[in-house]
Amino acid sequence: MVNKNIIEFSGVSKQFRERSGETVNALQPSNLGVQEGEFFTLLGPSGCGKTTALRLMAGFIQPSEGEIKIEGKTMNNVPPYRRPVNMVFQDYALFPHLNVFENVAFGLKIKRMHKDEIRQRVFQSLEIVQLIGFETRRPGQLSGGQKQRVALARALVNQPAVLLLDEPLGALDLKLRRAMQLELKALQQQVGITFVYVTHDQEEALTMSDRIAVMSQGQVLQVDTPISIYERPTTRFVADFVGETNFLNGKIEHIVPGELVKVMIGTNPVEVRHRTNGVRPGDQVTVAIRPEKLTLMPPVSRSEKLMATVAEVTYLGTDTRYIVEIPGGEKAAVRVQNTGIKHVPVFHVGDQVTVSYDMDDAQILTS
Amino acid sequence: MNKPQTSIFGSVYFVLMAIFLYLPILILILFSFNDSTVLAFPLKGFTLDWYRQLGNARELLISARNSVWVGVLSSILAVALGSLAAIAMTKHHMPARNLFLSLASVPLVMPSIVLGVAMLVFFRKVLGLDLNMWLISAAHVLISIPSTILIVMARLADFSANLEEAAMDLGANYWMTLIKVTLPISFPALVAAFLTAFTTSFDEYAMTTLITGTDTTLPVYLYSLLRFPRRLPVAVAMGSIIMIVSALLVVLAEWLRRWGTARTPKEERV
Repeated sequence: MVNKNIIEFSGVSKQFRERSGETVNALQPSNLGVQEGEFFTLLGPSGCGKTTALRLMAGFIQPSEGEIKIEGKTMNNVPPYRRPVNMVFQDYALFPHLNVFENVAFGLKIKRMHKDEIRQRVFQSLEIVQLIGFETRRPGQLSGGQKQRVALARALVNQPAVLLLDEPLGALDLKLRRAMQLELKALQQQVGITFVYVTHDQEEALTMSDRIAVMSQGQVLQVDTPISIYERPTTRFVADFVGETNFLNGKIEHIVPGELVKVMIGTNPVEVRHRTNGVRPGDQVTVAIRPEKLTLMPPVSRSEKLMATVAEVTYLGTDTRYIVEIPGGEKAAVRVQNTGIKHVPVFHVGDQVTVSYDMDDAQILTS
Repeated sequence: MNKPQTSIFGSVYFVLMAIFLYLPILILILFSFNDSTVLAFPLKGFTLDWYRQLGNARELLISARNSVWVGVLSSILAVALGSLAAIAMTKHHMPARNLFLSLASVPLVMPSIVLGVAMLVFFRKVLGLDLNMWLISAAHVLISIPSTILIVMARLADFSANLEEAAMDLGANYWMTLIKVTLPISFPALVAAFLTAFTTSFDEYAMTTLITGTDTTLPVYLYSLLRFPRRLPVAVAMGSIIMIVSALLVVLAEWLRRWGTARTPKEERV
């Protein structure tokens, strides 16, 4: 089961021609593999090509170049109605002239399935999304969350090899959204169908996914597990888009291979675990480290620590956010958890502090 | 000016406007029950005689039947052709779309008397055909088509293209999508387009009179009745019936159109 790609993009790209005659690269030539049974998320800001990638899988658009395979079969020029995938649309796209039952039964009726079996399967999938009793309602009589469930049931009832979801929670309010995130994840595990999920919400992606593909400007930047995406972003964009990151610009002073890299941030030496290949002493690089991985301490005189001045203090309840200024002009955000009343807030604007961190939490980015 | 004054002014304006528009029609209906061949006040007395005479006016009934026949035939054709054009223009990439739409809309702004002359010349001199009801129907398709295209287009442009994609995603090919999703959702608009086309055809006089051969339509026949003053009240009675039926049809068409729009809640039309 594992490591078998159910959807495979080989060098797939998509160009659109605008009305003005300009061509827009919605998707740069990309390779992508979605494994069987996983919850795979395409994450990125609007216009990054994630929806284009999803629509290519569904077959609503055809690739300009490259090959798309689903279950090992080439899907180029196969129309949507002959693909083993089903889609849940952002605006649900429920048929307004049909009731809930008829909406869910639509795909099965097209397949000319026997009436009794249609009935049985429709009720089965309505049960999965907890909508028994709503069969005769029209889409206009349902709330956003209920429409969402009908759209899910309508897709799942066809037992697709892959379920495609285009920002399905986008129109729901925050509370319902959170609840539906967990529900969707549970549902995915229950039915065991591969999910390809499109979202611009990094929190949603981290919560639900087995693997995330972060996209920007038509390119797939990094495909990895949520933990790796968050802890080990390979590009500045990924580090910045998923969560908050400090980017400190500096110059490599020396490298102890396999051990550490010493980077000068202004006049401060900063040590980072040596993981990035292809960097040499003298290179201009960016050190990325997340605010919650930094801690502040009263000043000590050990030379490898980062000295700074507190420039801003914001009390946020669960934690306190500091902005510290490093000599040389760089600023960094630090989030310190308010673990007890005695500890908050410890530092004030103008205080001299030592910023400490675990060398393994910092990351060198070259791009 | 404060608010109440504005609304009083508005109400008065509305009432005056309504009187101006509908009083002549009401008077006509009034005269259809008047016991006199002269259409003038004072009224002589109440009678249903004119309506009774309608029943015996064989030619008038034949012309009415012709009108219904031409109306139904031309409306069905106009809705079919107009819908196809509307689908082409809203759902597909169509070269010279705007040029086509302008051309198809020409009958809307062209005086029908001009169209009538053009049609007469074309049918008689160019094609050498005898004038008959088929030709009248064809001509009526021409004048009905702009409104059918516009009504159906408005509906098609209104609902999300996602609905059709959803149908295809669920296994429906192009034609099944058209039959199971696009047309049912557009159905109220199709009915509204049909009724509008029918009314247009049924009332059309200026053009029809020019291309009428032996078979006349109702408006053309009624007009010819005006030459016989004593039979005028019969024409008035028929006119009253047409007026009321036309008004009902237009109201029904508009109601259907709104009902269809109301069935697709705003949030589904993202």
